[in-house]
Amino acid sequence: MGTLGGNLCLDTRCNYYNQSYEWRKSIDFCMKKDGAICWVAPSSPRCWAVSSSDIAPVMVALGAEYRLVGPQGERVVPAGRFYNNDGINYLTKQPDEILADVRLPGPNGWDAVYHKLRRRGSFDFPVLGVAAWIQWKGNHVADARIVLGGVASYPQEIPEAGAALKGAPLSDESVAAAAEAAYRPSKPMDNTDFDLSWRKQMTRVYVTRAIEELRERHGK
Amino acid sequence: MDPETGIVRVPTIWIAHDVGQSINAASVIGQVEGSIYMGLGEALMEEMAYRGNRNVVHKIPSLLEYKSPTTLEMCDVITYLVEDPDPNGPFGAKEVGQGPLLPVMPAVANAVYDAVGVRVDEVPITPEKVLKALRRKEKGEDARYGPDSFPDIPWPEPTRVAPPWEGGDGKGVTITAAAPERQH
Repeated sequence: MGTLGGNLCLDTRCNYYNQSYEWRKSIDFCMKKDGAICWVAPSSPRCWAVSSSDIAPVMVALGAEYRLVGPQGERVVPAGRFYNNDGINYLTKQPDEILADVRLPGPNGWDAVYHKLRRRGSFDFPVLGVAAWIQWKGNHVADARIVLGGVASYPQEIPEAGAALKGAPLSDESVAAAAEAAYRPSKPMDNTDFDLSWRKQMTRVYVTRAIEELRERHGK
Repeated sequence: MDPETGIVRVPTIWIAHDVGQSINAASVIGQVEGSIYMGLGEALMEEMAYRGNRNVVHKIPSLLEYKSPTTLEMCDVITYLVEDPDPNGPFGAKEVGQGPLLPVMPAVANAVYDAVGVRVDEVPITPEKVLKALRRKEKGEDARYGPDSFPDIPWPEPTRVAPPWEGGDGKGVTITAAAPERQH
């Protein structure tokens, strides 16, 4: 059974980490477990395992808040600050804290979509996720957030992409500018399914399609 | 076929297979459709990838990351059994094992060509290969993706086995050694 909390706290994934003990031992263990090196980027001091949650980028895009409860009491953190861009320490949650609640903003003219790239629709993890959120004011985009999943160790918000949409009605130019802004910092590594340069190229296509869906839905 | 991503979806495969004599139609159709399934995986997803430069291990030895279609990715299959009994086969049967698998890869490659006009001469036909071929086509280059040369193989001389109506007794003849005379 899967749970919302389980997906929000999902361990980062990597083709060098999600393997049998014998396989990992045969090439020597990586730093995420039992070893010292990152096999994706051997000269790197950090772990590049990938945030593979579908809901985490959506929560960051929506501006959700998480309530954490632990022995020191409870605290509320914005979803965007719950995740760390590190394959090993991928959550800011303390080990003795429990994710108790997820608080979503009330409906006040926002809309959001999530587009997901993966090989098989049946059960693969995402190798690219695009969560797009728009706060509409009439036909104007009052605010916007674009968050990428599956290309970093955390759900990666691209503020430049949101900024490209903000303050005007959606136009083909602003959608293209947002897609371009998301494409540049999208840096998938060679540790999931699919060719990494193709995954990077898909950022542009998927961001465009996500925003187009919001535009279409708003136009109706 | 999605020209922006290069993603290929196969909704339906039609297959006709000459089985000689179908002894148990349900089993025979099952064999044909099972072969289609394996061929579809070979055509679109399955790839033996090894870590080349360090230790020689398979990169993705699991059924999650070694991609193969599940029942949900499987296409519809419309199967025609062609029954032309073979007097030399058991009860007139020919074969229904690997045969129906073989046309799937070229059929998918041809379907991609028919849809977007590019040739992917290599399996699996993955989206990045299709997209690379599409980019080449846009630039007016050779609209294909695949190996640039055929490996140099020392082929043996062909062997010809004459059919019974030409008096053949099942023995093969190497063609350069004794070219068969054409019968008039």
